[in-house]
Amino acid sequence: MKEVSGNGNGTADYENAIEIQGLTKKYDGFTLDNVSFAVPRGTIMGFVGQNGAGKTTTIKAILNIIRTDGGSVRILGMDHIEKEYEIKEQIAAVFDEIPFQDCFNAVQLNRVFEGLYVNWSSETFFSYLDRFQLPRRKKIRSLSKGMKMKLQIATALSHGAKVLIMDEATTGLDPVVRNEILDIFREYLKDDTNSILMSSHITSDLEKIADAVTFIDKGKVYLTGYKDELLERHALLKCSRKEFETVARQDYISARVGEYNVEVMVADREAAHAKYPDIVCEKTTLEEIMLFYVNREKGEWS
Amino acid sequence: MRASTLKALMWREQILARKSFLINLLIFSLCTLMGLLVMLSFRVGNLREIKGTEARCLIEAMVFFYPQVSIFSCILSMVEAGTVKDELIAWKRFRRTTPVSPICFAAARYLMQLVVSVSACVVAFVYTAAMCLISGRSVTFRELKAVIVMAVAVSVISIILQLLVMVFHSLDKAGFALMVMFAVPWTIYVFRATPTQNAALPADLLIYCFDKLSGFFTLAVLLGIAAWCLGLFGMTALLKRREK
Repeated sequence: MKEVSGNGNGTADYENAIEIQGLTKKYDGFTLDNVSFAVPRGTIMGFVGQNGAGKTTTIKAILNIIRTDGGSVRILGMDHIEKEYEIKEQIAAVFDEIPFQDCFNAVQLNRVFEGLYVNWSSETFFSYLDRFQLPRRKKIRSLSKGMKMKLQIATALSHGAKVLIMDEATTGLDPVVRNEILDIFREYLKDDTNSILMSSHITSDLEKIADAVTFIDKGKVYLTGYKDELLERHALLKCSRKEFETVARQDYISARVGEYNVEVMVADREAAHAKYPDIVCEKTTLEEIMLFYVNREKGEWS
Repeated sequence: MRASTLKALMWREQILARKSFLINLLIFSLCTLMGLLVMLSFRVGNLREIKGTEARCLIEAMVFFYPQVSIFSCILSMVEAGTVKDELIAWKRFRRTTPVSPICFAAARYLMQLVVSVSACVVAFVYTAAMCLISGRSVTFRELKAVIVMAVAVSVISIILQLLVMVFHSLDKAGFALMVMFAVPWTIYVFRATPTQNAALPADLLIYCFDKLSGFFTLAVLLGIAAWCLGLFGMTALLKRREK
């Protein structure tokens, strides 16, 4: 990830759309522990972790919705607290649940948002409505879940936001709608000054669209980097139980032990291949990487 | 704070409260019709048979009572509807992602409430005048004072209700707290006031209470406005509050 070169006065020439350093937040029974990662400008970063891993807490901290116990967040090169309103003019957040009261319709929302954002474009908003085939005068309460999400995305994309922050936005949607939404994001990223941070536990979506991935578990980031590099670096060794006994513990993240075979996740494919040339070394997926990291403390699991 | 932002947020408040406001408007219209019919009845209907002090008291009480209903229902229903809908967790979270400051959200609600309060006062004035006209009384400053005092009082109550809803995150709890804060002292006041009044009719008591309030007209209005302004800061502070 690139280093930040912003000067913090709002006119920064930033390299990372979002940069988080040492973010800490303590709750009873859960700690967001020294979270650090960056979303490079012009990329889509998948923020992956199981439920309760700390994704939403991190996003809330980025958006200054919660008070943090330590660390810093810079968005578009600016401090997220000092320049809160300048930043919020240029970002958009999409949540898993529609945040607008259900008595509004799209036309009424447009009128409200015209007042909220300086750069709001009604034209863009209505073009998204038409594209998503969303009714303009139907109350939110009578829209389907997919339509509500599309409406939320239409509002998020209509004020020229440079950063889109999404918290489980595609969760619970059917694959057709999810794909439609992913297409919109691809289009949004054609402008290389736009960036997306997308939290999800649906790794297949991120596999399709993400440029970079950050894995979080139990409040700690244990992996962050470009998706292709991560997928290239990690590998799944498939071996027998007997072969597995020859694999040193420090060489693997965790191993799924089956009745006859063992699958072993390694973080350095080349080193593993060189050290264990007789064991089959296969490409892996984000989902498998997440699964093996989540079970890393167990070492061996089934 | 941009004027267009305030305007948009005020408009939003209006949409939030529209349904509740319309329902209350309907109830108020029925009440108005009923009040006017009762007044008319004193002149041409059965109530004509009630004479002397008793009739005077009843008419006076109604001239006081009915317009107050309009103020109460207009202001409180609108504020209550808006407050409850804004308590949606998702909206509260989303609000913090917008480039709009908490004071702007609070100010929009306040301005909207001011518009509603003034409108309710005007309606109440017109209603009072109509009732006086029908009953053959002349409109005096006494009736108008009662309307203003009531408008200020209800505005303050509504602000307190909004703050309580924001503190407790529940309309039920806020309503209960409000009842404890106002209903209990009011009841004690009424019980203490009754024996001194020698009141044969509830109407006497009503007139007595309004006369008492009107006695502190300037002070009540000034205190009300001060409380109202303090509420703005309270609401801004509560809106500023971040999640734990």
